[in-house]
Amino acid sequence: MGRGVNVKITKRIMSVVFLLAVFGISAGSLLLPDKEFSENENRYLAEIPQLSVDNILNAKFQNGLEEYLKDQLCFRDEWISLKTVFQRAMGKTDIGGAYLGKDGYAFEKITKEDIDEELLQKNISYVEDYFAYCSDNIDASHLNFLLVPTSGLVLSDKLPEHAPLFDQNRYIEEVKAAMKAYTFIDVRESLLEHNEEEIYYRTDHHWTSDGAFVAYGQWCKSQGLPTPKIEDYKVEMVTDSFRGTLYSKILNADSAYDSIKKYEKTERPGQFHVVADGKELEGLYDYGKLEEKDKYLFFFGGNYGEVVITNSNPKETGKNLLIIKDSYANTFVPFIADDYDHVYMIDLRYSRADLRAYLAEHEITDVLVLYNISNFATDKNIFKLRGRG
Amino acid sequence: MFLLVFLPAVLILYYALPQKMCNLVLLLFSLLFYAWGEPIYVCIMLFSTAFDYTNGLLIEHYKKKDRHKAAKVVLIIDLAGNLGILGFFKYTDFLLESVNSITGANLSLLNIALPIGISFYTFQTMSYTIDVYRGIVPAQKSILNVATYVTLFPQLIAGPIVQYKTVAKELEHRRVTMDSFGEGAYRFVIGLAKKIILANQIGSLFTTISGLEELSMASAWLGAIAYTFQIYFDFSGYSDMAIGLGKIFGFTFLENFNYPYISQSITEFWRRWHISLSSWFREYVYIPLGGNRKGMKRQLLNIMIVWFLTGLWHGASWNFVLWGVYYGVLLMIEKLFLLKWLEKIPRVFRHAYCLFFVVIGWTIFSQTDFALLGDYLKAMFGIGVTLVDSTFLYYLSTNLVLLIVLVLCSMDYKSLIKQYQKVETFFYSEAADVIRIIVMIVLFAISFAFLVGDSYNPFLYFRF
Repeated sequence: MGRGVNVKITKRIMSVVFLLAVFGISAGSLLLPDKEFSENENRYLAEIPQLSVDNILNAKFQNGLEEYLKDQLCFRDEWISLKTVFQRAMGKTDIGGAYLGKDGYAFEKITKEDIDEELLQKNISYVEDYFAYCSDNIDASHLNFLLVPTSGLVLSDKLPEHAPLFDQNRYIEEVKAAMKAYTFIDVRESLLEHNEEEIYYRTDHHWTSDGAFVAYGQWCKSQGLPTPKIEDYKVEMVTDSFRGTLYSKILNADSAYDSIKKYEKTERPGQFHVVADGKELEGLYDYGKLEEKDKYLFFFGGNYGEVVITNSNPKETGKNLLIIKDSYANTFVPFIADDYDHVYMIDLRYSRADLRAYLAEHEITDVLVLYNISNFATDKNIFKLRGRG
Repeated sequence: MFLLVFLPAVLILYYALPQKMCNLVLLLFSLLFYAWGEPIYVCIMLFSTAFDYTNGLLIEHYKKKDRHKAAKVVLIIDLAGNLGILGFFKYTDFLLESVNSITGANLSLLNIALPIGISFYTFQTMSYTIDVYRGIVPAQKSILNVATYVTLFPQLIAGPIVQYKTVAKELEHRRVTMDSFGEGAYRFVIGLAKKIILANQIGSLFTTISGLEELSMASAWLGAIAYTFQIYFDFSGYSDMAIGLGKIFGFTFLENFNYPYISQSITEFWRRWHISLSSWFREYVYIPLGGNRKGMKRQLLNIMIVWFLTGLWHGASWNFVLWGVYYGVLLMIEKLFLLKWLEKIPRVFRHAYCLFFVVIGWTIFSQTDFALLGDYLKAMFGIGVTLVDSTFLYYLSTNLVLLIVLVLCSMDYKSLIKQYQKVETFFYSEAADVIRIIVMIVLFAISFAFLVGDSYNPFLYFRF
């Protein structure tokens, strides 16, 4: 600075500004009460770490206190939005692991480096082995695999220009080739045909009910069922103030809001009895979750190890479907639940069931593996399909 | 943490307690600051302090009694002690590993964690005892003052290397006014912004690019340039913060960087980069070795020794040695003939020449693994890679504004505006001061926002 600052008064003002800033923020953070949970970021905030000699010597206490201060800072959300505003002003479009694209669409930033091809190959072989086991009692045509592409593929025109993304077409083709003997439901084309519609959320990585409905059409075709018509459903918007996981990464104050839709058949709507991990749910939907931040949990209230859906208004199909799935299935299952006596949803992340024994126990007639491609490529729980045998 | 708890606390106590207590407050807080991250290694620092304090007194004692040999012995013990500590903690595993790989032996490593800042403070303490021996400064009678000097938190973990003689007077007596406080605060905020806004942002680009599986030639250069900017703004940002904090507590530290990237030769670059380190080596290694007074051959040898050590100082890994030797060779070539040739070519080529080698230098510096370094350098020279890919276009376009800002901030604007009378008058006007205050507030707010909102905040000097 040297000669830069001429007037004494300038330097004095600078002292005062600095002291006010440091002491002001410090006092503010100390005086305001602690928050336990950040809805915006959808995570628990740090609490004061435990004080002990061990914790001090291995610096755990110090690091914990640092986290605590960072999390409990006054105007935390405002500081974070300021950061995002600044980054965007500088032309950055990848923020916090998400891309900020056109028309308010955000995307997961998944690049080649995030995909472990070895793991993907292993996961493919686990499913192959499982289907081979299933085919002892179930006809191969009833063993289905549906891979959902991420929004980056379907809405690629809304991505920032040149944004690097993993080549999911290649991976989907690989899975498709491995599933030749079974039914692979390729939903890419139908989704692309509808890519002007709201088939993915803008602020969340999941597909919407509209997107799942498009895939349901494709599913019906593969199962030899009549093509579902939108006129046969009552579509209801249950909320229009949803900001999802991608918003939590970017935290841009001017982010769009998404709406969540619920489809219900107008004719002979199913009456569902839903039990999740042994606990009875109100139904397919959890209206309470619409009051919370992560409103995607509206579908089934979230993910469970096992969800059993019994159709108490049955068409007496005589069919029981087992779905091995991730969270993308939660919007999809309400559509197919009508077509089976029982639907068993297994989320391998939370399940400890022996899925080979499961087939006979529940008289499974159809199996569907439904995953988002990036989840399928990175999930380390698919090995559980080997069962305990 | 530092900004919101530590700094307010130290400021309150420092200014509330009487002047006599100044150094004590600084010492206690510095120890706390260091113990915060290195609870156990604080002992080494305390030992170092006691050791150098005693040796300083002994050296002076023997010198007064004209027992120069004895004084020299104490100095040698002192240097051996300091270098021993540094060597043990920093280079033992490196040595074992090197022996293992050369001889195929299988010596087990000690896995010692390197105490942060040890390279900085051991160099500082050596400057003290050497200067006492040389009679440049009197020995410090108060152990409190020595301890304050060794542990002084503003420059403790990332420099600059403050030579004892430059702060000897201020240790005993210093005055802080609102003016110097304001100047220091301004400087601190500038440094903070350099580190948090500029260096971390461009650093995340480098991290992304060096993690790419497929590198195009253009991406490799973008990554190397990103690192070049990161290390400058990070390091000089820390130095600015240290100098600013020093001012706040009444110390005057010498400048550590002087717009290195405007240099037009490697020789000039090293006069402008990490000045406190190069002057330490010049004063305590190069000149004692004979400098340039013992003929060209000896001078070239001295240059090589100094640069081998400089490289090694930056980290216990062969790539740092390579990096040091690389500069040693470049400096020798410049000394022998290149500087004369450079004078004849246009300025812009000189600048391009210098930056080219600096960027290559940082590439060597950034990769501790030789195999990775080889791949990266190959990519930079277009061997077996595509020229441009869409990944490059994406990262270039989304970082373009930042890169432009970085270029602008690397320029020596004070010299530049001398050519424009009007701009210069404005620069030193009151209106410009108002702008400065606004800039300070804005920079502080944005830096703070990044501290809160960004999880990417690397510390680059854990190897130093």
